[in-house]
Amino acid sequence: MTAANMAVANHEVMADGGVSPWRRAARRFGHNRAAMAGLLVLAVLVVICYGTLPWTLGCYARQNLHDTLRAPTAAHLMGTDRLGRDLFSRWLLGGAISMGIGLASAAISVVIGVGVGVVAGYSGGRVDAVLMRAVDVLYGLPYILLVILLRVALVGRMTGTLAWMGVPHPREVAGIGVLLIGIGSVSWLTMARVIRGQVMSLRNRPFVEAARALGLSPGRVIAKHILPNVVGPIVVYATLTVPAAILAESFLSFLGLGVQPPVPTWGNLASAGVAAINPIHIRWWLIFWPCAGLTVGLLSLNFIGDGLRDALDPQRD
Amino acid sequence: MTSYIIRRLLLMVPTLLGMTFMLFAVVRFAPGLREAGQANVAQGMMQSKQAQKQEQMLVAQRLHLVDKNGHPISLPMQYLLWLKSTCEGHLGTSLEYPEPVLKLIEQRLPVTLTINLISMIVIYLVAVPGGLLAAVNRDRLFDRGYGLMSLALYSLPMIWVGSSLLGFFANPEFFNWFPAAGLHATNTQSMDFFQYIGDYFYHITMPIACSTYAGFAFLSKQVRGSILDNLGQDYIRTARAKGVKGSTVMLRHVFRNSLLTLITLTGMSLPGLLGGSVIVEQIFSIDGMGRLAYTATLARDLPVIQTVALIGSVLTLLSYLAVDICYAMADPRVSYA
Repeated sequence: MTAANMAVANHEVMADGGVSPWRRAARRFGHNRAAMAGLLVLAVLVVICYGTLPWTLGCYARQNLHDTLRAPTAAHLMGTDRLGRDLFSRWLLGGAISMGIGLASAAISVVIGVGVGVVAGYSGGRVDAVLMRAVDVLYGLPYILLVILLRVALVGRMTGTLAWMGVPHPREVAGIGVLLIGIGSVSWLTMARVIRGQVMSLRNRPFVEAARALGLSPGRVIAKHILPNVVGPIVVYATLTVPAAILAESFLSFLGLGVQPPVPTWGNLASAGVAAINPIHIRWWLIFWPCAGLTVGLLSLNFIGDGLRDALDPQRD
Repeated sequence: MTSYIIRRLLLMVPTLLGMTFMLFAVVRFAPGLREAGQANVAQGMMQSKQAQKQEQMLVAQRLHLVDKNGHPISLPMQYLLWLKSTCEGHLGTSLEYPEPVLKLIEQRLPVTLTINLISMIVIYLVAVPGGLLAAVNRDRLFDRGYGLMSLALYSLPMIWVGSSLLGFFANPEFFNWFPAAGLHATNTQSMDFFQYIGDYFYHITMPIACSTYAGFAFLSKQVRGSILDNLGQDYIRTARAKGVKGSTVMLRHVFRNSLLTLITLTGMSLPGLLGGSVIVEQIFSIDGMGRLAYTATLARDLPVIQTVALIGSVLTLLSYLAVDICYAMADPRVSYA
């Protein structure tokens, strides 16, 4: 950093010395053009995918065997698949489900990861050692193994339970639920490690010691003094978990372990498109649209996550 | 140093025991696994009921589910027996293929290792200098452009990239540059050594391309961040102030300190070297470790699953040790004591 830059930076610090760190982070995020573009694109995707749910839910599985494998036309904006289903409505619903899977996985990884990380980091000693070894073991186990085992163990029971509870489409819902548990059960590991490291460094800081010395219970120290200080990394890693989970779903769909058709996701539409490739007919729309949706969605989410990381980095001040 | 390593290796034993226990629990308590493991031996064979029963009994004995007289063995005992035979080096025979697990792994490991090692080297060769240059040119064109590019690559779904590579570069309609599947041409018998090696690399070019493109973003982001951290330190300013050459500051002071981050990241990615990517191997029809683990899990091939997962756990532990040793070597402040 040159002297001139330093001077400018110092000046800026002085100029907004009275602004809260959150406001400053928001301002930094606003200046990040890639992140703002990502936010805009994501907002558009969310609105069109979720806004059309009432329509797409009604017709995503409607087959028309006279109209199979048509290239995009005005009637079918993205063409039709081999069962004559309209790809556009499937794409919209698939986007909604893919993004929902991403969000739900992020939520799972926040709950488990932050819980384990905070407990391990704050307790230290034996609790920490046991929890972190468990994390190591899960890292060491092949990911696919876990997902398949969970499917074997849970799909049947969950379908039964959901049917008993009167949930519509129990099998489809159970499939998505088990997939979520599978992806979520792996994605919290990184979160737990990161949060544990943060909490460990916070634990011995004077303000935490002061809180403890005042006789606050551990729960209160964690809730009032530790958690607010790790919100930054939590937000950043949660944001980055969303695209990772969407990608994981597409991988699993490719292996035939993802959400099962006819329920569409961008991932299983894409892998159906890959399967439909053959040297004689190139049905580009079957692979292009789902993959384009995946790419655009992942790109904007990654830009947002990256922008958040830069904006919430305290060393930037 | 030696005593430090020995002590660390001894400390690994309880952790490893815990890992084997969890592994055993995960594999054994998953419903359907044991039964399926026994059943798929006899499937599809024209056997009498009697022979089938006998076969199943043999498999059950091999898996330590029942003892010699056919009495069921309790779970804790099963665990101990499994541990014992594993320690003795008997990893068992696959239920799916008529081969010992070790032999299966021996066949598949070299491929996965070659592809992953080369991919890793390519990623480091691009991402480390990239991250360094991005940090030096912070917020300038290179930083922005490189950041956007690597993140964009990271966002491309591997299925799309893989199938596009196949569709465009292994397709007579476009460019028929690379083979679409497998690791060897059909006429390997008539090749000499160099032709054989050449053919091998010709076959793994596209799989390597497919497993590298997404890796740049994470590593260069970390390198960039760590270098930016170090650039702001007082000792850098001191070095600059006393007139040390810019390139020397970068290499000796900044990069030397960022090396620690790199060591940690490399250590974390080491277990993945043997794991192999199921997706890449599936797209390019390569028989590697990833596919082995995948098919074994689908087929409930217990011995293979356990061995592959065990190798993964041991490797994870060993790479932690390697990280600590490298740390001690790279950073004089860390002592062995």
